Amino acid sequence: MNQRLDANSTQGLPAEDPATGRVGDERIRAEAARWEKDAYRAETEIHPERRSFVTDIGLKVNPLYTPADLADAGHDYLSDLGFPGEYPFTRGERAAMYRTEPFVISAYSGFGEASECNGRFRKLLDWGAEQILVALDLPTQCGYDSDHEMATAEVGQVGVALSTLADMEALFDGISIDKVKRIGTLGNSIGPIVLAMFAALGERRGLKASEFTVNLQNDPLKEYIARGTQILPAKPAAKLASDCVAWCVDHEPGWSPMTVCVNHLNAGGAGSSRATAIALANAIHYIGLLLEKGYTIDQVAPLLHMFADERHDFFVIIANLRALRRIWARMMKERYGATLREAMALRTTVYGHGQEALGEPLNNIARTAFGTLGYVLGGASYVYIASYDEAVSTPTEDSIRTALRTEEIIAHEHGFTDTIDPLGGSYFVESLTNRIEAQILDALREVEEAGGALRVIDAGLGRRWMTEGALRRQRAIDSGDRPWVTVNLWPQKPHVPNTAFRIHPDNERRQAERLRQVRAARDEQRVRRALAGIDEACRTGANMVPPTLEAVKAYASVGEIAERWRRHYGVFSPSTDF
Amino acid sequence: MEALDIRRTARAISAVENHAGGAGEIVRKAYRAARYVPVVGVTGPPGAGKSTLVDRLAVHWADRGEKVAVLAVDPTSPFTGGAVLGDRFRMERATGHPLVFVRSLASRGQLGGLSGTATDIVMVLGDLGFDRVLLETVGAGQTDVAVGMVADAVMVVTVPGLGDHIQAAKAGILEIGDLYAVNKSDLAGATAVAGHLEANLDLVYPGSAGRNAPHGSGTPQYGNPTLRRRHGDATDALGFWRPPVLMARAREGGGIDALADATEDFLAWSRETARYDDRVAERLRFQILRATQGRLMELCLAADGEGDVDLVSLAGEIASGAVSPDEAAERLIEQWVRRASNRDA
Amino acid sequence: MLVAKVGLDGHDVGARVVARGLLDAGMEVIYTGLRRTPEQVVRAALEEDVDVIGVSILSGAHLAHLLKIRRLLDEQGAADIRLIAGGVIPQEDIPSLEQAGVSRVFLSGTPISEIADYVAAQAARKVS
Repeated sequence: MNQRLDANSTQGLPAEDPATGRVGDERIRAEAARWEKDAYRAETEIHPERRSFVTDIGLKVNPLYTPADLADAGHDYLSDLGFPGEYPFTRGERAAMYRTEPFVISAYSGFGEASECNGRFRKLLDWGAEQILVALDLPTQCGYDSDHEMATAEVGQVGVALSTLADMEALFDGISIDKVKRIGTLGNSIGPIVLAMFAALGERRGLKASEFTVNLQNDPLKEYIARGTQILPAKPAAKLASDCVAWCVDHEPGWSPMTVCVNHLNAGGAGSSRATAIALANAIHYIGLLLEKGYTIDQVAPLLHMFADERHDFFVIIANLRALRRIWARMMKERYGATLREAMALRTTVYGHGQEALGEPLNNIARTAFGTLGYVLGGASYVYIASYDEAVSTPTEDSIRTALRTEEIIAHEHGFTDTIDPLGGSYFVESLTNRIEAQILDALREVEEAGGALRVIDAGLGRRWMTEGALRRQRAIDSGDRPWVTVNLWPQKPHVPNTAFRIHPDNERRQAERLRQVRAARDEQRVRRALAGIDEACRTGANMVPPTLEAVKAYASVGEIAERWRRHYGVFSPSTDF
Repeated sequence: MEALDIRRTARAISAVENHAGGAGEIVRKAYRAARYVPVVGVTGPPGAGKSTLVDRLAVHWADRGEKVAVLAVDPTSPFTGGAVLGDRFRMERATGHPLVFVRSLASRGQLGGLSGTATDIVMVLGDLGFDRVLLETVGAGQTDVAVGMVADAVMVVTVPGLGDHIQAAKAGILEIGDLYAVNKSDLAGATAVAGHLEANLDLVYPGSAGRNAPHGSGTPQYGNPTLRRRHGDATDALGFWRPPVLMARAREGGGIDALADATEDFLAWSRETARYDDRVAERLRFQILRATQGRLMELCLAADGEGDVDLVSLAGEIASGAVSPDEAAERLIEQWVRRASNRDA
Repeated sequence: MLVAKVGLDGHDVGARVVARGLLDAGMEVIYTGLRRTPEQVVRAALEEDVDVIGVSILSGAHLAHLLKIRRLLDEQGAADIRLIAGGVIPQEDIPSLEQAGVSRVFLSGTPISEIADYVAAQAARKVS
């Protein structure tokens, strides 16, 4: 922690700051100290504080914030905040923000078979979703076809099975992908395959790439630490992911082929500041690969998004987003020499969560609404929201509609989105923004000193941070230090209701059967030629997307393509550290 | 080929490890069977790739028809008593091989140390029909000593990039190896690490790697008498052994055959020169002393409070500054002997 | 204690936290890492002579894996090794799991101390 933080976390009178020398701040500082001593302490000596007030990221929350706190944090309006759509983008990535159109109402959804899932997508669009991110089942995400041994009991379970382009066609049958703001999927470990599938889908529809927009998560590095769908060793996985960005720079610069994720790292225990730092280090690794290939930062950075995350403390959500935009802008400009506004203005994706509980799941509606509101007040660009039953199973139709409606209420009711960055200038939020920025930068320095993104994965450091953080959270819940309604306050027995969404038991068999039909009908020679092209790209290190596009169009399957990668690059070895 | 009896083996080890009821009989039976099988110790710093190397070596010998037991030792936390036993899952080929049995052992705070228990377990494994035992330990602190004590051949593994080799020498790791393996030999610096090891060996051993004939080009200058017993001396008729330094790439399987051959060569030399028997005898002497220590403790405890045997007052005397624990122990033994002879009388 | 992940589910933070909690409670813990097969888990449990296998599952998909582990254990004469499951498991699946030989189901959010107490009691049962 740097000096700013120490000064800020001291309960007593902060040391004089000769740098500002503003008399007004001095007066306020002295008055605040007097108030704390005479009024606050006097009262809390009789009625003690009900608990210690510490955020999940370990920052202490003071009873009161005043202009003196901003002065202590070295707050400078013009250089720290500026204006929306202008450097350093603290107050927003666009000038008009939600006054022209609110954040993009987004849905992450998928289950069972493509045809069945298609019906769900149509409903989502009817209910107002503007972007659909396809949830894929685990076999697909891990590069296995639905009929592979490893797919047993997993087909269609946590997402839709997508083995070939035929499934993709069925998935979006009758949906005008050019009328939706964006379509996409995660595809973290199979980036080139899903990118190729969307490109091929557009081609089949006769659409130009500029007529629709594809968004991928395509961030394999965090999988090794937090999410667990990795296929290959981390180094080649990062190379394949960066190939997708390179290909889009060359062919579809309007697409968003990579969303670098804080989300799973924080959820897994890292805490939002450290998770943000690890994600930034991952972004630095991908950017490095692209610059090595000869791309410029102004070409690459506008295509990158970040998936921010904080789900424990409302005001930290807001401050984290604002700090992240500022860090990104400064990093792009100062570290990489970016000159384009688009390269410095970070677009953020968020997924509104709270601390969702298994008991009395309807309460999660309130939790996810507050979590989402925080992101909106922080100026997020693409907003997803968890359904109240998401902690339990694949969301049901009712819960997913309620979630979308919650987003719409936040977008249009209560005036939440009427003015830009409504909490800018709040003594608390600004001082939190500065402290979180410092915390993230310190953690980033630690990651870089440890050797950067790949080293953090290989040396087990990332996983250790995660486990320790998760354990700390668990202990805080077990001890009651972190209050949680129905868990440690008014505790209810955890209970997973029987209404949990279930996949049709025949799903796996039917999906395997469909895959057999696709294989029987395709031109095998063309498939073999295309797969040989993938081998060739493995050997030469050429961009993997063009040969993958050929293979996808020949109806080669996810498993067949990923198998070529596995053969050439080897597979990751699972870590047994904890 | 008779399959491994996994369940029986696992339970026998647990019994010995936990000093559970039945352990005494299992161990007694094993020593009576007197089936001494070669024990290959593999040690080295964390990150040297020991597990992968052990994985390859175990499969190497198992593929030649041997029944191989792997014992992977992990440190026990002195604070909680818990231990993480994770190495087995790094042994992808050995775990699941029909002729390899892999077992993790926590070092625990065992009476007589890990080596006492491990020696008993090795005997039990021999009795259960295993042909060879591989013992993997992290080369740090006490487990080092344990591997030197239990194994018939000790392989010290290192890798480039770990930094301070002087530190390794100080830590005594250069005094326990019968063979040295430089793993990940494709990494930059591997040759330098090997050169460094050779230079350190040069300080002690003349001659060339492996067997050296007697009365040759000089004699090893040991600082450590144990090494003289193990590796010999040019002045005696049997010659001496200079630990070879071999390169390996365990992950890819490179250099494994050569390492296994060198290990076999050392074991053969050790047997031919009767140093192997020496080593076993040394181990057994220690087992007697350990057993004696344990037994004496049991007897004193059993006699506590009878006659003038009185642990509580002895502890009080230490606390008041009258005696040291060593002196108290002397007194305790005297008290117990007196008590025993009075009872006999 | 063997803490296992089977199948493709990659969310292992819960499993790791439980493993760490049990370690801190003074137990000897083995964590398998991701994507193990029931066969691998059972072989490890037998060789290590564990008292309890804990399988972390986050979707109904994994019930099949649990049942297979139980069956393999029983076939190899290890009916005494307790199998417990943790994660998100619908209420109506719990009786059938228990019937099939899963001794206890700990839903997400169970305090670690509760799991540690259970495991310690099983280990004590076996020794005595």
